[in-house]
Amino acid sequence: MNEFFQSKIFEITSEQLSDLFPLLLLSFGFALSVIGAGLKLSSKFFKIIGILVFSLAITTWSFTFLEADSVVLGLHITHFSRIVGALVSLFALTSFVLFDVSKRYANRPEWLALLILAVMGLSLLPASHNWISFFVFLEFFSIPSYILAGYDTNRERSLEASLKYMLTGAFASALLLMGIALVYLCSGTVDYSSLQGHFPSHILSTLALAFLLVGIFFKMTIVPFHFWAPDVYQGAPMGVAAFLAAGTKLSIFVSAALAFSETEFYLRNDLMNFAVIAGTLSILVGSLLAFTQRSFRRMLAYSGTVNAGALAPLMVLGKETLSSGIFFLFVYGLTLALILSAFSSLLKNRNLDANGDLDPEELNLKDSQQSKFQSFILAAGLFSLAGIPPLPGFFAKYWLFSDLWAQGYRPLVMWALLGTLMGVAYYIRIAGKLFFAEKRSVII
Amino acid sequence: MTDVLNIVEAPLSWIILLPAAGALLNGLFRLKSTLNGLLATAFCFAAFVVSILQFLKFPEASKLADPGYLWFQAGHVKAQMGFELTPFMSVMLLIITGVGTLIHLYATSYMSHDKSQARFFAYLNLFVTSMLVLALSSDLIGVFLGWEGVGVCSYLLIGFWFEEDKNARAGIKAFMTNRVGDLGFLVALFVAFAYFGTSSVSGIMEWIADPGRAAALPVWVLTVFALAIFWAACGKSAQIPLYIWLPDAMAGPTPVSALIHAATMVTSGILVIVRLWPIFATQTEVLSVIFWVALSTALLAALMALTQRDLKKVLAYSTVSQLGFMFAALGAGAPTAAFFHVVTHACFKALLFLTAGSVIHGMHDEKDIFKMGGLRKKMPWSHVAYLVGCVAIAGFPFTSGFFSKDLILTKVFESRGVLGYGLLLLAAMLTSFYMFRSYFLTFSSTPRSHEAEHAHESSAMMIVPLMILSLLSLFVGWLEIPHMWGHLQYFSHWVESSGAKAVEGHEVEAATEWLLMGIATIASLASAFFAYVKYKKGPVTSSENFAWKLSFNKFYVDEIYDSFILKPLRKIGTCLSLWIDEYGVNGTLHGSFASYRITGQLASIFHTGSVQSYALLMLLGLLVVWGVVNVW
Amino acid sequence: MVSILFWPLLSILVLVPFRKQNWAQWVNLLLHLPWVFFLIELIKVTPSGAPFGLMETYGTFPLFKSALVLGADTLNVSLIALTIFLSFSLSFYFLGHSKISQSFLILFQLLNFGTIGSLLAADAFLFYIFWEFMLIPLFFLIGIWGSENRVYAALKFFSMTLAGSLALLAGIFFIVTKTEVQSLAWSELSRNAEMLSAAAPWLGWAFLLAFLVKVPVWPLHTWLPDAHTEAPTGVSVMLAGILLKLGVYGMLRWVLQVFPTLYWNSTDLLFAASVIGIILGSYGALRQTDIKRMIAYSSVAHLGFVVLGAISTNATAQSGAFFQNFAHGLSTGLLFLSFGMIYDRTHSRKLDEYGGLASTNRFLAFTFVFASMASVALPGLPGFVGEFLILSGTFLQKGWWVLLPLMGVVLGAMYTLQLVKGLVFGKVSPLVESHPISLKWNEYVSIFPFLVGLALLGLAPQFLLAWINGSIPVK
Repeated sequence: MNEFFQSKIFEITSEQLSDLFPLLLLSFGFALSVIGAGLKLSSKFFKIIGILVFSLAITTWSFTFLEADSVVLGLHITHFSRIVGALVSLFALTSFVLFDVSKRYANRPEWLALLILAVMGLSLLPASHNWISFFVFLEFFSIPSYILAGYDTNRERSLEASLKYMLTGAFASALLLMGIALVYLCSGTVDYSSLQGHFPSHILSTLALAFLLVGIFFKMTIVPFHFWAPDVYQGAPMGVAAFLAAGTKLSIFVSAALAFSETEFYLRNDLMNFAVIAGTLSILVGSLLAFTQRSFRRMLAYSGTVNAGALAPLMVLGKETLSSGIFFLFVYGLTLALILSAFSSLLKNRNLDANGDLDPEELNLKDSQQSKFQSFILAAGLFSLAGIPPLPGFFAKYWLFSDLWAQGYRPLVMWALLGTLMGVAYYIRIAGKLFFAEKRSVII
Repeated sequence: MTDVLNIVEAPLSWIILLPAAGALLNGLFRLKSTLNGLLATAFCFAAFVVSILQFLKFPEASKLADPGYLWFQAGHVKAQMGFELTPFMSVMLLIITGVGTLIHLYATSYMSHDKSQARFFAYLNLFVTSMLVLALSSDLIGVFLGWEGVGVCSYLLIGFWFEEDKNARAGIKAFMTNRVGDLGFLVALFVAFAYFGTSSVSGIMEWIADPGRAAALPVWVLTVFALAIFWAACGKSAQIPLYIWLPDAMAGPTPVSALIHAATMVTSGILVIVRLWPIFATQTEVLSVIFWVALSTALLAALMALTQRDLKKVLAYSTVSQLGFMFAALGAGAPTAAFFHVVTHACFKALLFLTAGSVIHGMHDEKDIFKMGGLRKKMPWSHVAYLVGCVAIAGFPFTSGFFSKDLILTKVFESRGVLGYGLLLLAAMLTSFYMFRSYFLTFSSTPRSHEAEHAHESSAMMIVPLMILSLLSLFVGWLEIPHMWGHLQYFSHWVESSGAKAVEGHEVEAATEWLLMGIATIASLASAFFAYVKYKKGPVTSSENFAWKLSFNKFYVDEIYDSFILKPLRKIGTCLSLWIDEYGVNGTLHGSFASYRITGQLASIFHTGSVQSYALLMLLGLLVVWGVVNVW
Repeated sequence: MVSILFWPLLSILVLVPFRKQNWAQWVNLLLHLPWVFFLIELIKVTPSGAPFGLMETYGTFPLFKSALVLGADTLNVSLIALTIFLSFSLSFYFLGHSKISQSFLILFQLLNFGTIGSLLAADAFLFYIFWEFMLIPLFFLIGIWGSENRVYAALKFFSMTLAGSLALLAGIFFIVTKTEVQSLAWSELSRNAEMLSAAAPWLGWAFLLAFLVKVPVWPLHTWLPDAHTEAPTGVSVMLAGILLKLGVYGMLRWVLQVFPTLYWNSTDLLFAASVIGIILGSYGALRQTDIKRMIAYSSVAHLGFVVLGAISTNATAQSGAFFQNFAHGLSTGLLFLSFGMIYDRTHSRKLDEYGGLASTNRFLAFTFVFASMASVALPGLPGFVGEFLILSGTFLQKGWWVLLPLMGVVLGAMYTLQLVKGLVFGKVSPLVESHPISLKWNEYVSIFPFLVGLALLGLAPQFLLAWINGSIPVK
């Protein structure tokens, strides 16, 4: 037994410990929240614990941001994984602070535990170094998110959302696993660095890649695999929807990029074509569907698809061009959180259920008169999503599109610009609806 | 140039500023009853006094100049707002301000009971200002400023009684026709700046005079320049094809017709051509074009005037015809004759218009001469004035009309031969016929309507200008008598010293000149007698044959213009703009938007909501994309 | 230069506490005074020689290869002066106006900020930010305070202008990524202009498209009648007065001086477009029954003349075109303002409901006739100076082709006189009878600067012409 203990795995030096500290902190937080739930403590306790744990995690991650990469317990902690960890916990923090989750689910305080698990899963994902750990961490994150999606048990739509998310998620993970198996079949190994040179390029390997991409594109809501997103975003509680939309996309985007660059898959042009086709498709289909939606939150889901479409090619281009993608998703996450929080308080003022939904056509001048500040935030957020300067959305889109253009994806950028133009039809029109008096215009 | 030019500095801009100040004051302050009118007359009279002072400087100075200021300058275009005065233009200045003052005085009492006199006299003074700018500007572009200013004032004055839609439409017609004419002036200005480098009249004259540079010009430049100026003159001085606005301009008050459509504005075309005469002198084809256009205008207008029933319309057509005479003189290469007729015509046509005004005033705005008659006893002063006017315009011996018309006829005979002379003589006979027709129908025999019985003579303030004008129309002629009678040729001196040498046609000996004079006098006396015989007892209801209908309806020229030019152009244009803008561009916009919406609805069919279909669609999507990846 | 740019933002902060309407209106007026002071300071220091004579950089963003660079020369400072002139006289008009609330004034100042920003920006990226930023306040101004069909007009305006500027964005991407240009500063771009126009011929067109939509050159103009008709009076005066001129300024500054080769070989197409714009614009105005739409279509025709001048190779037409910006700004601005005052009382835009204004309100009738004479390019008023220079320059370059736009001069007179006859002259219509118009003192004061400006620029335009001739792009 003791050889087992002396084996290299458990030797942990001091600076390796500092790398693991945020994860340890999160697990400690998880333990505390489970005990608290057991003792039926007051909801304020969970709020404080949550804020403490997440803010500490963010600070430690951002402080250690510039340190050298290190390999701990088979995890490759790089500055990418640190930035992802920091941002994901920031999204989690905003998601439950902005939507006063603790007060709403006072009697079932397990939400904090589930949230911490999800955050741990997402922050570990970029640190994975082989496809098996990639799959494990992905599931490690997905399971709590299925439960969180259905947390609003008294609302039938929320249960439906979580069920759909779970079923399609499981289906996608199964395909991902199939992909990993094929990768193992083709190359005999699943570890990134060892896959570097010896991944043959024949029909079977392309199929393997295809299956791999299913799991990744599913979480990124890119077109052939985006069907779950609208129902889940509409059903899930507002905070969870915000967290899911931003957190998952960020972590999957970075970890897939790291994986493809480590294994040099990105050199294969069939992967590149796969990403470009899926990206263009999602921009087009996303814009088309977002316009005709009769529900505000489903419209936001499709706008997420459009943005993910623009990100898809960058994912397969490897490490160098990640910064613009990360910044874009960071801005997207925060804007989305702001929009959804403004929307839910607007619903409250219409004394509808805070997690409910509304047909954007019914938004009218009365809303902006009732909730002046929220409608201002909502309009600003929508303009930022549309990418109109001087709002941050524009700079994010500008950086992202110029990176794409630099990498030579000129047609895709053209489609993305067309998507921005089509964005006017839903972002700007809804922002306008809030402030324009009722007279419906002739055409639109 | 022959004699050395002695250019004297003179405060010419004062002549313009005075009426401008009058216009401003009248515009701003609405004074009691006739004070506005008197104010306007005072300012016009002040301008008259100043222009007399300038006129007296002329024997020694050959040209007065006032540099003014730089209006605008960019690239190759340099517009100087300067003023200059040549001898013949100073005489014209006297006419503009002198006859103008008389007409202002007349209008003060004529418009005494109108409710918006301030506005009327502001417009009148503004008109005199722009006419002076037109006359005095040293640069052609300054002339153009006066040119369009005069056009706008005539638009405002014709449509002065804007309550009736008819007047407003007449005003627009005048402005639009003038604007079409002004395109010619603009083209001339473009050519001037492009090829002469300047638009100042003296600059252009130097360019023409210096043989080296004149040769360097492309051959067509001078011809196009002259034709463009003539097209503008047609617009302003109502020659074919742009004369249609003058008869309708009678919708304005009578003093307006007298000032604008008799004395000053309509002659501006001739003034510009006389100023640019050295260019026209070299262009023989342009001169013949001018001559034949003028001749046909004179004849056509005279024919139209034969059957008119509205007194002012008769005078309007006679103005168009007399302008035809002046341009015929220009066409015959005799600027002196043209300018002499401009001056004499200004006098007697203003007299005729004002008398017509006092007659209509007396007849409580009844214009139809068939309803007048027997006013000789009721309105003695107007009767005398009208008779003098008719006598002068018909060209009875020793009246001003006789001298100027005879000079034109001899010049035309010299340069255009018997055919030109014959047609012009026919026009002169028609003139005296329709003038005496209107005289007898208005003044002789018995009153034919209720207003005619109670017609009353106009006030003194209206009669005094009439009397002054009558004297003028009788004795102005003596300033330019034929060579055979003596050497009183002031007008030729004035015009020649301003640089406008007549084109040397083959001089005609004294005998033929006596002969021509005799024929002209006999012709006008005979047609006057013929009119006396036909109309002394009242209107003769002649059979409405085709010729009569043709003349009465003005040869249907207005209707032809409307149906063949104006309406089709407007129709094509508006339909084109409607089709392209509404259905073309907007159509595509709305179409693309609707298709965007429909494809969106189509695409949303796939979202059935059932998980199984999602999984199936995911697999299908995967296979499709994988297939495409392999194929590509 | 920074002070004149950020003053509108500062005045927004000052405006925020004043929630009551007439307080906000008075504060907005007083806030204009320092702005004018900054303008005079800037005018004193503006060089009139080389383009962007005076250049100041305030901070760089290496990531986007751009910097906060502001440049000034007589070209953009004169347009800034026009903006401030319009905004100043409009702030008089806003006093005591029922519809002008605090949020209207805040958005109005935001619009000014965007306008001056895009005029002063000497860096393509910065210019793009201000260029698109203007859309937001305009969208809300038209959408909230417009008349019946405002939502359609606001969205149409927004999407057409956005489509144009996205082409500009694609151009900027190309420059930033594909060419070795170190930064997007204007001086850098114009230095290697040949390399840029050789690199991608479509690049110039991408830049040009954004400005052609804004100028409304003929086929891309259909947003203008809707936007101008539905916008409230103050906004339509600013739209006609200065925002259309931004398109022309953009063409001269960002296309002529950066892609000269492309600009010159696209002039034949633009010549055709501007001539058709003049003629069809005039016919468009002729067929309207709605007064504001008629004035809006006349702007399409007038801007056709300006573009005609802007694409010619000689200095006469170029300075004529730039001068026509001011002439059109004042005359159409006055037309919209004076009709706006009538509309505030009668709330109808149908021409056949009007008539006989001259007998009820003489001053307003005089102003309207004066403004329409200015827009008909009557000599003695600024319209003539601009149009004459443009046409004589075009004659010099294109010869007898000038006869086509010359037709526009006649057509221009046709629809303007039709408008004046319908509105001012003729019998007094029941609508005008039942709404006697008595102008308040601030309305007189707001009209007065336009009248003085038109008279001054008409008879003595040389002070302005000499000042802007220095920095006209074509010598």
